[in-house]
Amino acid sequence: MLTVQNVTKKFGSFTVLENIDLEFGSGVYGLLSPNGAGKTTLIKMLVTLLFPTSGKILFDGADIRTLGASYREKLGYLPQDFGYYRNCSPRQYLRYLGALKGLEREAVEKRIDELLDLVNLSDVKDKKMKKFSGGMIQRVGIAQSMLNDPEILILDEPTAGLDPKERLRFRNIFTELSRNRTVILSTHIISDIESVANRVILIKDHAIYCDTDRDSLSEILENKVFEITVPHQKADSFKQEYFILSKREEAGQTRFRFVCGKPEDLPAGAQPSLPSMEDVFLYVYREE
Amino acid sequence: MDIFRQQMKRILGASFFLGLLAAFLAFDLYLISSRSNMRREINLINDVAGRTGVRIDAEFEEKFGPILKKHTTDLGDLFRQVTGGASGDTAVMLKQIAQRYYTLSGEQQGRFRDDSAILQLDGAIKGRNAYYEGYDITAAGKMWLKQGRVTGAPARFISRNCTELQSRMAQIKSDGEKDTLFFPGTVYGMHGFLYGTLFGAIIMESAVLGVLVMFFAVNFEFMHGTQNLAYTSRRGRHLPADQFRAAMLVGMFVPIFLIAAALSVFFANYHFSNVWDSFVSSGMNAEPHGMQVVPYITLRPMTTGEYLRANIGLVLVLQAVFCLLAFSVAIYCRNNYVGFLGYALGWMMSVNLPSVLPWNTVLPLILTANPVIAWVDCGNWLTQIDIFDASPWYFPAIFLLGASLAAIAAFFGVRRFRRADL
Amino acid sequence: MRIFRSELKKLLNWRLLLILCLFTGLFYFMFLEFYLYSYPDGHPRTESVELGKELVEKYGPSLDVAEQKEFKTVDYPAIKRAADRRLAGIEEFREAKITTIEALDALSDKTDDASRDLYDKLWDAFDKTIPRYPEKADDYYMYQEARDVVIPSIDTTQENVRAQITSAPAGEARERVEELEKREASMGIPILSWVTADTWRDMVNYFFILLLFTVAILISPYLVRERRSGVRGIAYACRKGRSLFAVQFGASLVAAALAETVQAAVFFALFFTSPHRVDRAFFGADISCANWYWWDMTFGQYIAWSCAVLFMVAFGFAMVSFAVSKFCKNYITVLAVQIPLIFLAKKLAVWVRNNMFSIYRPRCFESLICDLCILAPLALCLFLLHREKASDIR
Repeated sequence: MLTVQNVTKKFGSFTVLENIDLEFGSGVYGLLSPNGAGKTTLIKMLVTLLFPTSGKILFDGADIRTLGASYREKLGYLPQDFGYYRNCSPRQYLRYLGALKGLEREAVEKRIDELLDLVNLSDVKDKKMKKFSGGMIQRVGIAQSMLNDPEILILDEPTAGLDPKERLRFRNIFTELSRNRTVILSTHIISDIESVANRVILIKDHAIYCDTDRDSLSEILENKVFEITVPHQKADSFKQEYFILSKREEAGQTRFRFVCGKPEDLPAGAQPSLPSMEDVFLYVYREE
Repeated sequence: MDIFRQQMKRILGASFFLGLLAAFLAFDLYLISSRSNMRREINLINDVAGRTGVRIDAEFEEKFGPILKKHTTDLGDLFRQVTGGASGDTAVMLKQIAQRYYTLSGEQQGRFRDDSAILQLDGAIKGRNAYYEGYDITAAGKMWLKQGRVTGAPARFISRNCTELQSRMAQIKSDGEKDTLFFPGTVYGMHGFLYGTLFGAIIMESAVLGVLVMFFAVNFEFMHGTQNLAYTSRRGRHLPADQFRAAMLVGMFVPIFLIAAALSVFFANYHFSNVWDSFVSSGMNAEPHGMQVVPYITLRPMTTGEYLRANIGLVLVLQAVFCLLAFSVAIYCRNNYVGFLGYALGWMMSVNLPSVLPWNTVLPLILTANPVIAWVDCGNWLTQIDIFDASPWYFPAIFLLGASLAAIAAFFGVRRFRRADL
Repeated sequence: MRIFRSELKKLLNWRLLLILCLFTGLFYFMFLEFYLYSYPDGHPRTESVELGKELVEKYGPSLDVAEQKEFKTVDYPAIKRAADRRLAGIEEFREAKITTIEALDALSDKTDDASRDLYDKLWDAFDKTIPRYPEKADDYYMYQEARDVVIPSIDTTQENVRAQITSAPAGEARERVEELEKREASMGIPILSWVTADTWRDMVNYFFILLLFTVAILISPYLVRERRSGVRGIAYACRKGRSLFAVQFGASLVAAALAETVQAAVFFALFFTSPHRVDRAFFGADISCANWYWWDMTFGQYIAWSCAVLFMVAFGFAMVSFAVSKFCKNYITVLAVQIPLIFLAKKLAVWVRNNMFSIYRPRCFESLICDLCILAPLALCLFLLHREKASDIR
């Protein structure tokens, strides 16, 4: 169990995160928020790159800072913009990281082959990474995060740069992996979270806005999401009145998907619709 | 214009530029201060030149005579004060007072320094002809050709230079150039110090900073990973032209700044105000070179002032070549570290190359026209000390060859860049 | 160990090693080739070394009182006779009836024009008999060396000795000088060619500059390259974590030590296979007396100590380069910082090495400087190591 206990992080006088309390057990956790909300800061604190200004992060009751190597050996981490050695092949790169992760040489070699197979890079395992596309680099990154078969897998934008087919494949891998480990997924691709996350954590105004299971998230907008078709001339005034989730042009008219909190404010002709996670995201962060 | 201004601001505001410029200036000031023990004597000689003029003729002797007499008398008085003995031979008096120098009072030390400076000056004036007598440049050139096994076109070139310099020597002897007052070279070595040591340091510093600035400017986008933004803009792949112009301007500013700052301090400390009209080829300006003491024989009459201006101009010529060559390296090599080391290795090779090639072809002769060899020879520019420097074609050749090489390399480099996948 | 080996491979990558090899080759060609292979280079330098070698073969590393007397009464006259024969072997000298050293000296003392002209003519004739690159000693210059260097060192008067003692700093230094004077009186004068000593002094300065550049070229770009690769974030989140920085520091030191050792090995291999191999004859000369050192040492020991001191200073500079690499964000800044630092380090080392162990400095001066050159950068690097453990990696 990974526990974030009343953690605050400040950079000088600027507070990034305040009084964060979270618990991570087995399963997939989706971290969702706009840019600059503090996702990456939180993740970096979980992987000991940053240290909390106050509060603690505990793993099985012990401070991760104290645990040191024994905590990090259970970690798998994929940063958002991770670095690599351009003149190295994936095999050489993973070998180096395997050594850093404290893995035995023979075990690493076997694991490298398995992982490169898993991420579909067996054909290029000895080619220099400077020749790789962005998606291929990303797959190498995913492979390195799983090198030590971690108990805690933390992935920051893991499917960026991957095509839909690859993205689906990795979602399935993360789901499988989460059976007996913690997977923390930070992403803007809401469909990834919708598909695989068991719990969703929203960060807003430097604090946790909500920490709930995926299905309960949409309760925020239960019975508040509607759709309506409006003539073009009235579209602008409609936009002023209601919070618009999406709009679509249809045969000379505009179809709006919108939020209406009070039944008395509901316009005539509006049809109720089931709220999606994206609707919730857009609504929660509407001021931003 | 805006892009150019932005590039300039970027370079001029870079901490490495300001830091290194300050460090270099501090070093130059330290160099200048290293001769401060001679300041008093130098300024005294300058004062004398103000009273006597620089031409050593009958009029000079009339004006210098009383000055010499005054100091000789003072030396005798000082000798009596210090040793109690009667005054006699000036050389003996000088030696004996010198042995007791640290026991003298401050005022006595000052008097001693002044007296010995004037007496040394007198000795140098009397001995000024000695360095010209028996100095046969043609014979020296022949020896040089024999020892270096130089034949063919280079031998003809060197022989021609020697012949011209020999007739120049005759001119110097006849038109009185050698008979001008200057700080005795064998005692103070001011020519070598100013043009060899100080200018040599400034050239090296300017070159290093100019090269770093050029690498910084041309590779800035790659350093910061913004090449995808910068080179897809409207200015696009023409941006290196702005970068080059800005870096070139800053690169040329560096030696101007260092020269202005260093020379201001230099001439504030070592007064040259009355010797600007003295000729560089003065017999008094002879300095030790290797085993011999030789005068500086310029290819045409040059006063100290003219020589200074010429040297400043030549420094700027060299700096331009260094910066142009740096651009041609930077446009190929995106790794500034490897590029700089490669450039430095190129410097080292260019110094050595002429000496390993056979001197029966024109190639080593051409290769000596390179800015690094010119830098090594600074202090002897436009004189016969290095046989190539005295040729009127030497520096134009350096500029033309260096600039041509840089231009060709840069042309292909820029073309490659414009067509390359980024 | 694997991580350490990986870091070492990163430091000793083939591109930098190639640049280093090219640089070393050019450096040798420009600065050291002359000292190594044009040794002892002309007259009377050739004779100084040759005479010294002959004296060592005959008398050992020093000349005691009896040997000094023997030199003056036996060897010196023989050298003079050989010089006379040398002069007599030149036709112009025979024609002028100047066939002995005394006759030549008498001629040089005359000031009339005819004598001056004859003297110049004889010297021109003599010069023509000298090869440009002499391979063996010339008898005339052997005599000159014996007369101007060896004999005066034997004839050092008591007054000179007293002047030297009184000019020494008071206290322990003066006691040491007196002790050395007594020993010299019993042990004798060390036989060491001034050419060998001068050449060594100049060569070792260049050798040190080579060491400085070697460590600077290898170590300076290391952490800048690592930062640019962006692997730090992943690396620090691994089990090894931030102690990777300590491994990187250790790898830098090992790389620096390896590079310096290779450079030293090459240098001494060239040294002992060059004309300098004759210098081995002088390694046993006790130079403590000649140069007023705090400690007793031979020329060979002095060479070893000089190299050790400079090795340590260069090693300290490797740590400075590591620290510079940590602070600087890009290669341009690294170069801008390293250029003045290399210059300062060179000045420091030359200052330390000149008059090394001399009584005109405090007794433990060199060891203090070496300690500072190692400890100060080490302290800085340890501070960086400590800071790395707690810093935010953004």
